[in-house]
Amino acid sequence: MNLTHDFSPTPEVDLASGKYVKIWHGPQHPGITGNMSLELTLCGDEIVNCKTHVGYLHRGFEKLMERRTYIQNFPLVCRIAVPEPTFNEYLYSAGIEDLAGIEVPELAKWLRCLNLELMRLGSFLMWLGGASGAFGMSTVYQWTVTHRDYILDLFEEMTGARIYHMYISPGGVRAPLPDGFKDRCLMVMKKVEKLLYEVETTVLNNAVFKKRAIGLGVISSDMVDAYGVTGPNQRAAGYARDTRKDSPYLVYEQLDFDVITATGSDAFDRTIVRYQEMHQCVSLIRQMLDRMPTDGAFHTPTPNVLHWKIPAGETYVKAECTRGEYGYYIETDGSEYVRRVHIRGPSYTHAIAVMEKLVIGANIADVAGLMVSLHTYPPEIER
Amino acid sequence: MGDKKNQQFLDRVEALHVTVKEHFGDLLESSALYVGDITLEVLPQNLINVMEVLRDDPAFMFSQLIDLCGVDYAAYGQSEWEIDGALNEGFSRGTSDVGLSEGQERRFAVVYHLLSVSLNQRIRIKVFVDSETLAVDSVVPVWPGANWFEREAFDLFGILFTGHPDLRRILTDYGFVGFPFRKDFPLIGHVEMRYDEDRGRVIYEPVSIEPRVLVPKVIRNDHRYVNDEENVDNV
Repeated sequence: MNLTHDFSPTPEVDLASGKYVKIWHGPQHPGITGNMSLELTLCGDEIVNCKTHVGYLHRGFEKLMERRTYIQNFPLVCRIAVPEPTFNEYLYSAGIEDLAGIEVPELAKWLRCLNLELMRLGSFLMWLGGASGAFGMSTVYQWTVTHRDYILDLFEEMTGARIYHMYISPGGVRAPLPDGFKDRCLMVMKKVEKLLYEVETTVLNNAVFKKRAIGLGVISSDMVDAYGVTGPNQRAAGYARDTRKDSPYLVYEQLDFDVITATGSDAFDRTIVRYQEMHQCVSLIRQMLDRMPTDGAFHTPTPNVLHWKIPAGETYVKAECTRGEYGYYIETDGSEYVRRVHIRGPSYTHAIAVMEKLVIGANIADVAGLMVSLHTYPPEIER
Repeated sequence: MGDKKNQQFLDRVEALHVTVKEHFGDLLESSALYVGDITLEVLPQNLINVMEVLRDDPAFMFSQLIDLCGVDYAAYGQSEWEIDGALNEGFSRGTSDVGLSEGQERRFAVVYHLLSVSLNQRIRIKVFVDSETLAVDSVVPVWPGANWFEREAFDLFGILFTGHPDLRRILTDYGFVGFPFRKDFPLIGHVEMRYDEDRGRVIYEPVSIEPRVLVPKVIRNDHRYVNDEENVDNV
């Protein structure tokens, strides 16, 4: 591999010279939802060194899961990442189904897929608000969070809960769609689409936003490979990779969508990629509501969950979440407990490794915007 | 589920499995294909060699290290409580002693998940860490992004990575003692934290909770399963 990027640690500076100031950005800070801190060394307004400190939110989910039966883990996994609980639910269920050899009914696949895409849209809306806020347009945050609330209302109808749905269980989903859901969902999609066009004029074409975001935090292509960058961050660097296309799961093979890429690989292009993916979400949700089977089984018979032992084996399941590739490595040993679960959150590489490199040379005022543009989420780093 | 059921995908995985086996031959301890994933087991001394070939060889091109984690194989397959003989009165409380044997060979493993961006294929590498030294070569020179994953494996399992540039704890507290994800580390930990008014700071004390294993109190023989040989729920 031919590396043009310098991967060696940034040299330490002489703090006693009086030329540099060391400040802590975090653990509470504008930028991302959750706690993590950056130990920044500044020379004037420019950042010359950065160390990331994580660990404020380590709750030990993986250890907890090793001491609980398979069904006791089901309500636990959604707590790992607050804005996107369904990806955890889906991956845990998919891994268990792989290892136990359970087939999922067709309707359940569609319902899972619909749930995941609604979640993606909601999560992107929240991110869009945060991104505009970080660049000084906090009104947009009010709009997008309002629209996310419409999606949470849909979730409440669909699953009975707004945030932690506990909807996708091993073997299928917990409930079919309620009557009239399709119309209400389409109504929300119309509202969201209207909002997106407003955002386009107010944020994406905003001169201040463009001036600050273009050229900010460029991820070079060798960084993409070396650090394992995935998702919109990777696509903004010109890689046409999307787990939904490359190894299609659920019903993505039957849906019509393209992988969105950009070339600039800076904060602005990453925003554009995510903005287009929100439109893509709306289109995918419409397609699914259109083609979804209306009846059939939504849950397949599973063994008695209280006596459930899964044969020894291991699997790695992955899905494309809003931030990149979300993966579950599940290993079983034939007992009623899982041997090891390792959760690979895309933020782990984005927030720690990539962030540490990208802030060097940036202005202190742009740190929040840079963090937002990577779309990272601390609870998923630390689990 | 879904992506691993596709026949075209399974054929490609099988072809890759054959290629890998032919290419490495004796360098592999074992190789397996299970639910659509290839697992290669290599000895610690061959690790860097194999990894570099996997990254650079045109047949593999695993340019990204997607995931790295430690696994503890102590008390493999042992249950802390028995579920089959459960009656109306439920279980006795489980014990936290699951029969760990000291100095178990092949106790800790490091698992690597690789992804080839250009060829769209994946592979899993497993290395059992030497039980004396608990050390394995660091793959940071191969993939710089492994740095933080290895720090996590060190933090949680105490696996040492030789040649790692900055092997510090990452997730646990500053000054934490012990390796929390080992199977002999109790779920509730050893210390608890509180604010001490006299000293005006946060202090650590030994835990006041008694260690125990989570056990459902009562699991009755459900009538739905009594006559069912395969224990299949018909819900």
